Amino acid sequence: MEVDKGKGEAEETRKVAEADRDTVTLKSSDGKLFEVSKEAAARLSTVLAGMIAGGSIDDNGTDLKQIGSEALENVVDYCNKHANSIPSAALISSSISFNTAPFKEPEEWERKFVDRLSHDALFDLVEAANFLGMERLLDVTCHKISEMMKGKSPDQIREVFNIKNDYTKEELEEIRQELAWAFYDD
Amino acid sequence: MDALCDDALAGILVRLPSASVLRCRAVCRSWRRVTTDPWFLRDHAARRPLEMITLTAPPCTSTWAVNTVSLPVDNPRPTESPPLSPLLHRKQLAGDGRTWMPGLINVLYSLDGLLVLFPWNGPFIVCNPVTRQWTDLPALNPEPCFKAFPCGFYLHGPSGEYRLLCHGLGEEEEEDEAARGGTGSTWDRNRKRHYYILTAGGTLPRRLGVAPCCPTPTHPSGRAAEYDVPMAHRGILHWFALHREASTTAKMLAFDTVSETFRLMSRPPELQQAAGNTTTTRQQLLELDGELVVAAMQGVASLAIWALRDYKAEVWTLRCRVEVPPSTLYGGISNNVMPTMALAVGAGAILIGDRYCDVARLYDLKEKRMRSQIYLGGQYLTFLAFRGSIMPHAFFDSPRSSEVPHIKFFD
Repeated sequence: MEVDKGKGEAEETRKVAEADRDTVTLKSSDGKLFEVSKEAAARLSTVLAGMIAGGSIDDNGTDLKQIGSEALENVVDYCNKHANSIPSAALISSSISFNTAPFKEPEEWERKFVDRLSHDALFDLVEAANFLGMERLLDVTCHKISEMMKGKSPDQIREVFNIKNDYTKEELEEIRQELAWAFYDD
Repeated sequence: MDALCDDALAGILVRLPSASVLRCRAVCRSWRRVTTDPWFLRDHAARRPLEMITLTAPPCTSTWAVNTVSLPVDNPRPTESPPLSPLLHRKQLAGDGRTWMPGLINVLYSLDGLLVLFPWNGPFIVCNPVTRQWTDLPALNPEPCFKAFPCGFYLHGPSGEYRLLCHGLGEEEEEDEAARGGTGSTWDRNRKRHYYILTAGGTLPRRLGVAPCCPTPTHPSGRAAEYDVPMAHRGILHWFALHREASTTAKMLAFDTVSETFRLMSRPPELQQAAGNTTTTRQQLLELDGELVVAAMQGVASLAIWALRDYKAEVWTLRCRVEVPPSTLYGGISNNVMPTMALAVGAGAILIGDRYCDVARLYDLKEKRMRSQIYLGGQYLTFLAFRGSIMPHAFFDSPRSSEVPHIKFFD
């Protein structure tokens, strides 16, 4: 869905005037405007659903000061893709909603969606999804991150995610001994 | 990633498998802080997939293992076994040369990621197979009890302690010694019976009160059974038909886990006759959509669900009936073992089968039909639900008794 790229910028100039729109306009921390399906936003984000229901959506662009334009573009992209892929066979085929299956494997398009992201973009998206209360997007992005962590030692995880080791040698040894078995698994 | 707030970081880590979360604690301080937070641990446990404990059947293989299979096993092709995840292994269980009797009694209960194991010739063991911790419960046998029957495992809310309720047979009463004569058949009746509570982390069993002396109920398979695995509902453990007062009272036994007191409760009158006749009907308590229900399994293809709609007034209502054409059953009706076990696997769905049969069926109660048949070749299905947890427990830190075999876990 490369066509969606840059959609946000295009939207920025297109001011939509109708009062009763089926989209909402979101404004990133750096002032860029993005348009997203109202239905998809309400369905996928608990925070946006609350804002839409509470009438706190600004037609000129609802301020999301915590989210940068790159992450917001991905959020909007995800919402629009999700809206297009619904009803998806995988999500509605089961007539029983099993409350015991908290996580459904990412679908093919969701996998592709997160696979193309850089590390930084992925983490920004996690933060945005977390802020907006987007459970499914969190599942999908975190699934990707957990795949990146799978089978990696703490050293490798630090390297991949560029994290500083703030433990002393002694502390680290203590933790390793406590959980020795966990270091050989997966 | 360094810049992520704790909230977003927790959002990522809470979705990781248990071993990964534990390993993440070695990454840096903030990761350790996030992954040891009690809220995080509760959330992580709640998100673990629901599984069922299965046992590799001893006659088929030389090894004996405790495995899990993911629920709901919704497999349209019954001949393909769903994948199993191994938890414990017999060879490694018997690390110090002790033999563990293979068999179904080895895994007694599963609660909050903890398993209660019965190693046949030692104390009961509480084990968290995910964090690979285990400890023994206070010994009941050989002293003060000649024999101990486990009844149920629960979390005592007020103290936060995990406790095992047991029915213990004490020493023979002296006056009965003569009366017994040489027959030996009444050995069971002449012993002192008490309920005991074994607290994880405790040192001695606590005697709760005198336990009833009634004929041993008979399990449908013909085996003598003492107590069924109870169903917990509203902080109360319930035994429907397999308990010591079942045949004399025709009632269900309930044990309040807070006050630790027993009482008898009504069973659906319509099932009373059937409850006595365990060869044609078998009842299993379940918690379904927040209600205590009993699944009455009649033959291989008929199921009725009775719900305790009014818990206080003990009023039971027929919730639904599911009839499955015998011709649709995998392997044909003649090969089908009468189902004796049931497990609720999600809104409106239950899994039905028997420990001795490796085919289980998923019934959809809303659509009143059989959804699928699941074949788990060579496995005993325990119908014990399991959800892994990495919640720490202080009782695992206290030293174990020397009686306990050294458990090693599956690698």
